[in-house]
This record gives sequence, C-alpha cells and structure tokens, in this order.
Amino acid sequence: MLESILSAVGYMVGNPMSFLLIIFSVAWGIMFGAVPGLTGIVGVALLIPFTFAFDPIQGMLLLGGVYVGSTFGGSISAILFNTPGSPEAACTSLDGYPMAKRGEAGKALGYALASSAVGGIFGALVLMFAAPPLAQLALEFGPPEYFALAVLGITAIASIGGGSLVKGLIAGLLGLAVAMIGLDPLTGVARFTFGNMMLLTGVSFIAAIIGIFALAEVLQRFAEGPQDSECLTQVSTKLPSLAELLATKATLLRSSVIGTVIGALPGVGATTAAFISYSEAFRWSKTPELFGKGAPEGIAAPESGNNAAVGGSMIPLLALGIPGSATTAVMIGGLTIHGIVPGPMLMQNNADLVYSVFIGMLLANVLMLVFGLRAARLFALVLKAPYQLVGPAIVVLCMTGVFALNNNVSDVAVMLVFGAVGFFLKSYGLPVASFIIGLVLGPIAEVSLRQGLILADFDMVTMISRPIAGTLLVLAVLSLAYGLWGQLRRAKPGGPSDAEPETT
Amino acid sequence: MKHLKRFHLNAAAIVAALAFGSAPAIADDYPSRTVEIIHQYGPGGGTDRFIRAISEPMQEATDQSFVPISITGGGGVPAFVTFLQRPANGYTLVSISPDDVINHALGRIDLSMVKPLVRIQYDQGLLLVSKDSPLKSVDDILAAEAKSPGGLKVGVTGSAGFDDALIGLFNAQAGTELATVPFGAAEMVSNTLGGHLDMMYEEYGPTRGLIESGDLIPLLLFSDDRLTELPDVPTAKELGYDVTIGRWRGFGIKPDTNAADVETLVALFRDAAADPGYKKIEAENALQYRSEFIGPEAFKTFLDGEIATYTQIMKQLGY
Amino acid sequence: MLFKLSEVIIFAAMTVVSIALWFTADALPVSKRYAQVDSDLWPKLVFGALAVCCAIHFAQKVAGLRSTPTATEAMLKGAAPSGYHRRLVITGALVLGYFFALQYIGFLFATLIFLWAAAWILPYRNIVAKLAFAPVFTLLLGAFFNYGLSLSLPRGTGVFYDLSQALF
Repeated sequence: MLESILSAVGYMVGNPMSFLLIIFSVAWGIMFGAVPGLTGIVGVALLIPFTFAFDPIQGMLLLGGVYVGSTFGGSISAILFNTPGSPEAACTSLDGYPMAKRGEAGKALGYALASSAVGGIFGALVLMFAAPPLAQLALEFGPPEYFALAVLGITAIASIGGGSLVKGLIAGLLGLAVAMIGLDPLTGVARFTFGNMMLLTGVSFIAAIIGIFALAEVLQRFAEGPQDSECLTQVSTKLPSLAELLATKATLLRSSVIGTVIGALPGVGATTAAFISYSEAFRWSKTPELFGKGAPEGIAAPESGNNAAVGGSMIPLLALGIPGSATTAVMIGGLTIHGIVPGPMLMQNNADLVYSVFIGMLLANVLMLVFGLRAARLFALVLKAPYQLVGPAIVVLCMTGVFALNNNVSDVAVMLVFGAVGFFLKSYGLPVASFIIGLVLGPIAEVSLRQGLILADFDMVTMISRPIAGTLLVLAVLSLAYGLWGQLRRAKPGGPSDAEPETT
Repeated sequence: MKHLKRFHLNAAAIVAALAFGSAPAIADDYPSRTVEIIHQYGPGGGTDRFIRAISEPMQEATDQSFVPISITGGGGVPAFVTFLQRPANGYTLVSISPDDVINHALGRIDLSMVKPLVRIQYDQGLLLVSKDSPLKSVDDILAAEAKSPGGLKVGVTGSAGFDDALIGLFNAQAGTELATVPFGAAEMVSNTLGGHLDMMYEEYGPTRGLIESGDLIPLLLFSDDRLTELPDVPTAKELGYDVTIGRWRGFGIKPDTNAADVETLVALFRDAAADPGYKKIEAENALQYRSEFIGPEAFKTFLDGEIATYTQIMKQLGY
Repeated sequence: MLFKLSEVIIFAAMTVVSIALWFTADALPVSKRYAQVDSDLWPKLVFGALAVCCAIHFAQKVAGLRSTPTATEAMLKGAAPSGYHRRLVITGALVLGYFFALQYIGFLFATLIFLWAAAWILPYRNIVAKLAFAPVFTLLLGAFFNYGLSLSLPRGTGVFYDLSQALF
C-alpha cells in the first residue's frame, strides 16, 4: 500500500500537468456549485468528453476535483445571498446567511471553507486507508437501516426550529407531504399530481430550495423596504481565527464521521449527510438556541458533512464498483469509456489510478483551502453592492440557473411556487429547516420502510430488531425525548415558547 | 478566395466521409449544436453508459456532443413526457427499451407519438446471488420456493417494468413465486452483496466487475445460447423455461422531424454502431451476441411485435 | 388582530385540507402485489399526523385570540413597515411577469426590462448605476451561459426567437 502511495506521489510529481488540472477542475467545480441550479453532476457530466483527451488517471483527477469543488461552491451563494447553489448547501444557508447578514460574511465563508477542507480531507483519508472495511460496513445497511437513519434525521424536525414543537412538526410534515408528489417509486401509481403531467417526476428539490430560500428572501427584503439594506454597508472580510475554528472541533469531527459513513451508502449522498450532520450538531450543541441565527457550528456541521461525503461516496465506487452518489455514477461512465472495469478488482488491477485519485482528492482540498481563503475575502465584498441591484440579479440568476439545469420551464414554475411557500412559512413562524429536512429525508424513509417490510414479510418487529437499525431507532427515540425535555425546561422561565418569532 | 475556401471545406467533408464510411451530414449543417438523448435510467446505469459509448464516434464525426439526459423515477413516464414537450427539431432523441413498451401496454404512455429511429443493442440478463448465498444453483431456488412459496426476494430496478415482467414470466413457467422488490441500481447491488436480498436480476455489463471478482455468482441466463464469457451458466431455455426476452436499446425521435435530419441521424448511428471503439465496449459488456443494428422500418416492425408480446405478458401477470 | 385571525383561518384550512388529502390517498388505485405496503401507507401516516398537529395548533390559536398580544407577537405585527404590502405585491408581480416574459420574448430582453424595472422598487440614489447595471449584467450572464457553459437560455418565440438566434 505504501508502495502504491509512493508511486502515485511519484506520478503526480512527474506530471506537473496534474496540478494544473486539479486547480482548473476545482475552480470549475466551485463555479458550478455556486451558480444556483447548476450542480456538480452537470459539471462532471460536461467535463466527461474532455477526459477522452487525457489518460485515465488525469481524467479521474479532473472529475474528482470538480466533485470536491462543487460541493464547497454551493456554500458561497448560500452564505452571501441565501441562495443554495446546490442541494447539499441548503443547510449552510440556515446559519451562514444570518451570519453574513450580521456583517460577518468573511467569517461565515471562512468557516464554510475550513470545514469543507477538514471534512474533505477526512473523507479522503478514510477513503485511502479504510475503504474496504467501510465498504463492508455500507453493505450491512439494508432497507431497515436506511429507514432508521432517515427516522433519526426526521426526529430533529420537532425541535430544530427553536420555536414550538407543534410548529416544527407541522413544517416537517408539510415537507414530507410535498416529497410524496409524483409517481410512487414502488407501484408506479401517480400520487397528488392532480392530473399534471409535469408533477409525475415529483417536485425538483433544487428548484424548491432555491425558491424557499432565495426568492422568499428577496421578496421579504424588497417588501420590508430600504431601511434593512443600510446595515450591510459594514461588511467585514475578517476570517475566523484559528481559535474560533478550533472551538468547533467536536462538531467537525462528528460531522466528518457522519458524512463519510452516509456518503459510503449507495443512494444517499452529500445532501442527506449535510442534513443529518446539521440536526446532530443541533442536538448535541450546548447552545441550540443560537442555531438559525448564525451559529458557527451551524455552518461547520453541514459543510464538513457534505464534503466528507465526497470521499465517502468514492468508497463503494472504488471498492465495489457501485456508485455511492449520482455524481460518482457519472464518474463510473467516465471510467468505463477508458476501458476500465469498475469493481472489486480495481484496487489491484489499477492501483496507480486508485491511489492517484486519493492523492488528487487530498490535494484538491488543500488547494481549495489555500486559494479559497484569499477568494473568500473578495467574495464577501459582493455584499457591499446595493441590494436594490443585487436582489433582482439574484432572481435572474436563480431563474436562468434552474431553467438551464433541465431546459425545463416547469422547474422554474416550481421554484416560483416554492418562493411563495417559503414566504408563507416565514410569515407564520413555521421553521424552514424542518420543512426541508422532511423534503430530503421523506422519500428515503418511505421507500426503505416499504422495501424493508416486503423483505421482512410484513413483520415490523423483525424489520427493526436488527442491530444497526435497532440502535439507530433507539437513538432517535432517546434524542427525541431529550429534545422534548430540553424544550420543556427552556419553556418554563420564559413562558410559552410558542410565541417566539422565527428567524430561519 | 471564397470559392477556394468552400472547395477546402468540401474536400474536408469528403475526406471525413471516406474516413467514416458513408457520407453523413454534408447536405445541411445538421447537427449544429448539442443533441440531447433523454432516458429514464440513472446516470452511470447501463443505458446512460451505452449512450455515452455510442455517441463518442458520433461526436468525432460531427464535432457536436450527443449527451444523455437522465430523468429518473416514475417508471419512466416523466422522461417520456419531457421528450414529448421538446420541439421536433431533431435535437432531442428518446431512448426506447422494453420498459417503454410495457408502459405503452399498461396505457401509461403512447408509443405512437414517437418515431422509431434505430435499435442498436440487444442484451441478455442474469439471475445473480451473492457469494455467501446458500443458493448455489437453479435447483436450490426451486427447492427453497417449494418449501415456502414467495419466500425468496429478487431485487429489480424500476416498478412494474421490464425486470418485473421477466421475473413474472419465469414464475409462470417454473411454478415459483419469486417476489420482486424495486431498488435503485446501486442499492440493488449493495443489498444483494449485503445479504438483504436473496437474488437480483441484472445484465452482464454492469455486474462484470463483481462477477470477475467472485462477489456475485450468476445462476441463470435468460437468452437463447450460453455466453462465451460464462460457459458454466445455464440458460433458462435449456432448463425448459422459455424465457429469452432481453433488454434492447434503441432511439426514437419526434414524428414530424425533418426527413433529411432523420436520415443523417440513422447514418450516424449506423456508422457509430460499426465503429471499432464502440465494438470494443460492446464486447466488454458481452453485448455482441444478440445486438444487431436495425433502421427505422425494421425497428418499427420489431417494436410492434414487442408491443404484442408484452401486452400479453402483462395481461398474464394480472396488470 | 388581523394577523391572528389569518393564523386561525390558515390552520383551520390546513386541518381540513390534510383530512381531504388523507381521503385522496385512500382512493389511490390498489396494487395487488404490494397490498400490505401500498401507495397509500405513507401518505395516510403523514396526512393523519399533519391533520392532528394542525388541529392542535388551530385550537391553541383560537384560545389565544382573546388574550392580549405578548411582546413578541406585538413585534411580529409591528414588523410590517409602511408600504410593506404594496412593495410585496409589486415585487411578486414583477417576478411573475419576468417568468412569462422569459418564455415569450427571450432571456435578453426579459432580463433587461426586469432588472431596470426592479431597480426602481427601492429608493437608490445612484441613477447611473441603476441604468448601467441591467445591460452589463444581462450581457455578462448571457455570455457566461452561452459560451462559458454552452447551456441554452430561453430564446422566446416568433420574432424574438429569430432575434435571439441572431444575437448568439
């Protein structure tokens, strides 16, 4: 193994071109991540034809770099404009934007970047040293375990908004309800589409979150009038200090582990990793009341989680030849075109390629940190531009980005509808965080519940009395109880917490 | 000067035409931008990879990209609906497979709204188990089913689609009650390897790596003849079950597309299917045995036959 | 008071809609093969829970109608500055107008007009910036999508389609 690593390092040193490729691909990825609507998958897919010109190693470096860059890139627009550039950055908006709105945009971007790099490097190291055992662990996850994992995440909806239990539940259940629109994945029956053909695919998640976050925000700030935009003239580009970063180390570690494991599971990826990291960070936090108001942990958790998932999703790809996420599925296509058969033999037959990818992903994260920290300060300056001009520009960017994703006008219509939904949620104090957690985890919970029941011959007890599934469900119940207890305790001194205004 | 330039262009076109066999795309400038091929399977799946492989020689010939657009979910209906919403300008194709025929048979979509263009691949599927599975042969499957009917769970991709029809047909012939559980392609493999599923149904190409490493064991092949790559795997036919249906892959286009553009496309596909680079990929996936390029007319006849077959199968299965 | 009343109405409506959707789920076609885990299993769970939660919240709100508003509620109500609803409607209408304009007159013109119009909703002193920003941003974004990413943008229909075609 050490030999392989050394020979891979030798390859990189012998091919300075590789460094250029990584820098280019990371920048390309960041761009695709940051433009709302466009995602890393599109970025990778568009680059595949270019990989024909390179050898397989360089091709994979290129694709890996885009993957790394795009996962971070989404957080830039999420923090600066409350516009998640890609699905996995939706969580980053929840705390990143409030922090930037306070005038600490540089700090928010710095947290996002540093956490991304920590998560990304953690994921890449695990990929390098523990891919085979982790791939085996991922195989232990059947439908009951997926279900338990989704339930663990969903239980957070009750407490995460910081407001009342009932409001959190209503928002989360609304998210679950919206996620059901479309054809039933098991029986193929159309549900809640009310005869609309375009709803058969379901609600496009990226269009929905852009509507909820970005459009609703522009609407609100324009409606509120000019006074709000004055305070943002004080934009600080100061980056977080090392001590401040270290204060989030527990969150970083926990989220990196969660992200890597979830990334390694086929079918769920960076978005799920970000949400579960966020809800766990909230649950374990000593100051949960700061979440949604610009808590550093609220940025560190999703960003380290979703970037760790990048390394994680490469684990089943390289160890078993099955993709851990949609983006890695596209990368498999890139591999096969070079005549490489993805599968368990890849590590033996193409050790050079595999280890170059490892080193490349590590390098991509380091380079992203080095260049990104400089760029973050420049990006933060965008906030000095007057919102009278920036607001409409955000609307234009969202519309064109969402349109260009599928050349589909109905996605844009979905975005508009969800702009109204986001505005409605805000006006009535229903937590947006709960709503999108329901939206993300609902389909996973439903499908895996039904698959699990079929496999267990419709016996719920058999289904959940498996070691991993059982443990996760017990954890879910415990944390729900703990959250309720905490809420009751907090509610006592300050009167009914129901009247708390929402900030998310 | 102008004439000279045009002469050079023509010369280049002729050279290109010689190099690529027949003479596609000289008459007009079609295709002058990216052609999108809508399909209903996940990115990285068999069809997605097939489109990428077949489009490579076409990209070389035309200098334009042919990109697969994956619109998953909903049993393939949304992908078809998206295709129908595109204009008939020759820049949107749709992938056609038995899943679409089944959707047509079930009344979910109307295949008469698409003009069959070409059929290129004809695949054969396998029943696979994990290497730790107690099932070692078809006899083990039959014995287990005889003991507790419906006890074995088979992972398939898609709901009420081709995989379902094939397993249903096998059940009817073998007197078993194998229960299908729909999964995403990647989850199906991980659930089989992890022992959550008893078996899975998949083609040879996507599982080749795992078969070669010995993690997945093929038990049964659904085709007319055994594969050279898998000489020990019996076909369903030789065991007495007449299940030879396979997944084929072709393309369709909007019926009112410009006829000249359609001809250009057919020629492009014909050359691409014969391209050595593509042939190599086809052979790597053991697709060369039943694949045969057929053009619009033959494909139309074939498609009508398939519609009749699947309508009957789905009726038998009680849909 | 108006806000509180609207809350009561909204949550009452949501209770009713959830119950209605529960019955919609009940009426979904039945699948023989997956009878025990049919399409209606999950929707019934979700809408059942949603109806209960909305009903509870509705009851809470009705009970709260008579009480005097707490400090935070007063803040929520007082948060609407003058002209709030007027600006909300104008912005919403402009965004909707932009959406339809995109399809008919294409990206270039729709964006240009939208950016110019939207810049006047909020007061801003720098007139030159208002006028210059729209064309600069439109062209930069158009060029970025068309040449940088080679992704197509809406080109409109009819005469606008030809015009957009000629410009790119």
